[in-house]
Amino acid sequence: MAAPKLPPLPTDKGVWDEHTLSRRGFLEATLGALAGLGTLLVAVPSVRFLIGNSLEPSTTKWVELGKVADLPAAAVTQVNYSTRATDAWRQVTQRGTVYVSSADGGTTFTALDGTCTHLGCIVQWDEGKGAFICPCHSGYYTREGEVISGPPPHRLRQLAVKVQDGTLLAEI
Amino acid sequence: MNRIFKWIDERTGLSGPVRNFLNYPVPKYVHRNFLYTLGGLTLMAFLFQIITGILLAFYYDPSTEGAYNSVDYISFQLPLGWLVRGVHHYGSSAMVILVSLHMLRTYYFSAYKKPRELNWLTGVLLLFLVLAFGFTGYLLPWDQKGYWATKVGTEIAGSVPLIGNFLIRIMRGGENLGQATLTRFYAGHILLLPASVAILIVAHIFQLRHHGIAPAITKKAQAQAKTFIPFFPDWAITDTAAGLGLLALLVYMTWANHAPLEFPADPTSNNYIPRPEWYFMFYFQLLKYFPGALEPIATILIPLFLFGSMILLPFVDRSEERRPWRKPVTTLVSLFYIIVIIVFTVLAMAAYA
Amino acid sequence: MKRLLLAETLALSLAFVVAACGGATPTAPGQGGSAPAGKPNTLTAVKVDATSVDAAAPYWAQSPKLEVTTSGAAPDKPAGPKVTIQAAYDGQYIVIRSEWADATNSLQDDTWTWDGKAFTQGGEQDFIAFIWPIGNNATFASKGCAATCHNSSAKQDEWWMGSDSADVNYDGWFWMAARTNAVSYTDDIRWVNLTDPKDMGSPRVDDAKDSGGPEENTDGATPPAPKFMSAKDMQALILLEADKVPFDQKMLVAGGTVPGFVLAKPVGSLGDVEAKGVWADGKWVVVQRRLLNTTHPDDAVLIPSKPLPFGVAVADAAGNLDHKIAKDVLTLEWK
Repeated sequence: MAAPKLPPLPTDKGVWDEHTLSRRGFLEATLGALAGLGTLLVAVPSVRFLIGNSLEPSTTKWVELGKVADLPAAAVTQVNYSTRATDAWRQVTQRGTVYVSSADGGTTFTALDGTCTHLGCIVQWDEGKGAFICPCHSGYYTREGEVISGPPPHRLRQLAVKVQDGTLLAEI
Repeated sequence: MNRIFKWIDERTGLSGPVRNFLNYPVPKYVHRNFLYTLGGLTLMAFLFQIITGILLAFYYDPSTEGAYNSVDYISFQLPLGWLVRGVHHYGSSAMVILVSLHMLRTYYFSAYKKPRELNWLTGVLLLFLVLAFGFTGYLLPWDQKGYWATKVGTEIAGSVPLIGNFLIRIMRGGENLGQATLTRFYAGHILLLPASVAILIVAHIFQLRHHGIAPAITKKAQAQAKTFIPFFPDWAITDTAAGLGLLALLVYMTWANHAPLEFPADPTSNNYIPRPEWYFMFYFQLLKYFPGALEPIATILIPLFLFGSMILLPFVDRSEERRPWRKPVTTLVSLFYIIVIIVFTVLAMAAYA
Repeated sequence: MKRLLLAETLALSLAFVVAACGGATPTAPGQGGSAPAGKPNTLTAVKVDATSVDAAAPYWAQSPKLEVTTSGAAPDKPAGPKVTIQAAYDGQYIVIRSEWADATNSLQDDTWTWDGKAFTQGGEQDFIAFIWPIGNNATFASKGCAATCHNSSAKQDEWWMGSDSADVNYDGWFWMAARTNAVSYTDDIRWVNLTDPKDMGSPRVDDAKDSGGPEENTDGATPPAPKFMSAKDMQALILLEADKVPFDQKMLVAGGTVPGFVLAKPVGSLGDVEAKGVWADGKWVVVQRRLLNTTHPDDAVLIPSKPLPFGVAVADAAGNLDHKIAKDVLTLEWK
């Protein structure tokens, strides 16, 4: 690759070194390569650093929702759970909202994550309308969590549940 | 005095470039014309944001436990804290308005045409960064508004097909909105974005100086095109006066209504209705019209199309014509968007009233 | 074109101003002497030159009224009365006026009753209680009293009177018709954190005091008897420190009563809130006044311009088991 010619220096200043002129193309290519290498050396670890632990796979855990005997057999009950969790470098109390209902009078339970599947607001149970309603964009779900109307793309997330020693647990 | 200047100049060699910068000839038709101060005024607003932002950083605590308390402290206990935070708060709205107006002026005067395409592009990028400033900024108080707006905002990114989950994770720094999100938004807001904006502004102004102000479009202005005034002090005075006026307005608005601070974020509240900042309202309204599987149209396709067409504008509209009344297509398209944005904003505000 | 742009500029600037001022529309002052209605669930304190515990002070006509609906604290109890609350503040003090219907002026409070042979002790008084979070409290701000004792949990176990965070505290104003009103103050108390959900004890503790405060009027013997009595009134329900004489059985006839507490206004943080409550025509009107910032660590600091969530409860001749609470979060704002 032919390097563009350098303009001559003012005569009172002196002259360009002949040797450097002849090697200019090579030097430019070397500089480019070094700069490129340097950029990569900085950029690749930086990107990895910035991604950090963002992409760690989700883990689930079981949280206690309450004694089976205390849960209403018919009504949809809002249960706020709290559990200790790690938030980056911080130990925090993680809180969430789960709606518990039973279709067979308190033998088996359904637990629905209260997070609207549209944009993540927390839905409210409206006993009168018999529906979960999202306050943000008026998404409606049935008691079972299926979408009735509004923008939600899919049903409320159903959580796995189990009963242990008379206590209802859900997997979040 | 002169000797001191001379001493400094001999050692720094600055007087030449500085003098060139200050004596830059500005066509007389732009002098004292409000439409041509919009760019300078945006820069002024940015300076106010930098100053108030630096001041706020002296007290702000970027942790989920401390953020709310520190903003609360700034707002209610720190002398003049309400003022600094208020000017920063209203200043962010002023930035959005001024950038928009500046772009409209550029658009209607066809100032994006050859050879100023790159200047238009840096401008589009700057608009994008200003919006990013707003988005990252309002999480920082960690109040209900910031928390839920960010939750919804990141979910919007999450609805992008294929890479949505990746995007939401990258933005939040993990699965849930938490400490990692706050630190990310903080670093972005106070380091990455200001640095990027500063570099782009330098490029933007350098381009402006290189090509000069775009040709006038009215006959009256064209008649004055060959008469010039120096940038300093003539034009600088106009910009400075406008900047002081803006500052006065921001202070007045803060005094009349302190910057809002809602109650601290509660991730389990089921009756909080997230409201975006007013300049995102039209977008929030748009989301309502695309339910279910259509959602990505509103969340990604329309924004992509808008930004894409802004970027492509100077490469598509390459005619010599600069007078908007002779270019019905671009003029009508822009009016259509302006009307849609105003109508959507009004609808969204009415829905929340 | 220039005109179009100017019009757009004006429109956008106007939108900006409207957006910035949105929600700050001031409430129009009331006409004909009736106080204006306020925002829902919001108590708006009005700025006045000087406050007092006078329930008829002229500024009450200008202060917006908050109507609070109360419901039974326990799920099986009926709802309570509507409580009307108003607030005002000056440079130093906040004053809160509460008014609610109550058919009886209940001053019984662990009162001794002599039936001619033996004493029985009992009786519950009327009260109104305010709760203020000390410091910023996200859960209380969004859920109110449900964030503390009255959560909606189906689990009775979860009705513990505390919080899951070690540094959460609440300031309480506990005005009682017999025990505190007679000496013109409100018990300034605190709800502390009981971090163990199994702990069913009371998290309610008195603020610090140097002297004074109610003393249980008992001799501690078995069976117990009063230690002091009123010198002149053998049907007394209230016994002030200044009026007490040593208890003398011979003075009482069957049906006579002796108050369960000897009352003195406390000196110290416990007595931070001065109060004046008057029962007449089937309703209580209680005015309470406190320094915005008492500088005591066991009190909430009230900062004018800073909204603060709070809760309220009333009881009619009933103890904690049947007090009526505001289910909604209430917010104190400033004008």
